[in-house]
Amino acid sequence: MKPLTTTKLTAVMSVAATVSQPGIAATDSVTQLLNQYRTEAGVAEFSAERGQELWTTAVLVEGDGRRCGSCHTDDLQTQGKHQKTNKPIAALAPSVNSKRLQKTKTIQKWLKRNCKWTFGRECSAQEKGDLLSWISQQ
Amino acid sequence: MTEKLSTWRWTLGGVLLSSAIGIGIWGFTVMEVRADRGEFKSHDRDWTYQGNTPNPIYSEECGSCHLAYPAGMLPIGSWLGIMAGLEDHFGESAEVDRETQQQLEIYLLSGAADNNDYQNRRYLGAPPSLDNPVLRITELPYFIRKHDEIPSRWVSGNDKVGSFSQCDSCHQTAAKGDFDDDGVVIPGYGRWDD
Repeated sequence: MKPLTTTKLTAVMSVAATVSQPGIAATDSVTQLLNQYRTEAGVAEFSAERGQELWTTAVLVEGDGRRCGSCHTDDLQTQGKHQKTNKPIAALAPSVNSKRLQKTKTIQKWLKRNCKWTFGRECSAQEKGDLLSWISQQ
Repeated sequence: MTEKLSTWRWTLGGVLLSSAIGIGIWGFTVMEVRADRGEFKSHDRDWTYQGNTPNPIYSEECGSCHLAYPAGMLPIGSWLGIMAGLEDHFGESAEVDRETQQQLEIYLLSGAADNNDYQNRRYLGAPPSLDNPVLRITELPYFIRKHDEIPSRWVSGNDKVGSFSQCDSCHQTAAKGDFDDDGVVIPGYGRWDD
């Protein structure tokens, strides 16, 4: 048996760290994306607290004070409502809505679209990691 | 005398025959015009999803944020204009990946007003423009004419409705593609009786 290289060892440890993190019932997609964002951002861990802070903060200085909760509310276990069309948005919390966070493609699509609306730009890998960590714990 | 009577008979017969033919032709013409205006019940079904099932990709990508408006409600030029500007879709990012974009375009263009039924575009009143297409269903002459009796306080001034773009706030069966007058209930004001 060949000895593990340092890179491989780090990768294994990083996966183990994500899985063993308390409170996270991560789907495979979430785990995969967090690993991807971790590599992109060059950070070891993400912070659900920072994710929550970002969720509840209106980042754009000018404008209507929009933030994630404008449509999704601040309690992810409840149904939200699209600001403009009034269309109901199903709860985002995986604990009450098992359809959430299932596909990496879908997660990436909404992070892209909604970061642009909410913050006026795409989110950084760090921000996406923090947000996803927080959402996946709800 | 007999000759005079015969001439008279021929004249009367001729007049009656041409009147009958004339009325017949007029009837057909009027029927076509009324059909163009969508005044015939059967044409209301042109919007519905019968034989034109809402595409699951369309329902997911577009219907997550708003009613999945029937493809037949806009002509080809309008759909192309909308699909070319998803990055700024009426103030929001509605970007999709390349593959999804193509699938949506195929669905929308094949069901567009120009293709859906040869009469749809005419009664929408939308010029088939590629350069400067109408991008909002609510700006189509057909739409405006159909809603000209609805005061704005029932719609934009009504919190439960918001705007004319929220078809399903009043058209209770809009999600099925059925926009018939009979299914209209205006929140806070009650059933619409034309």
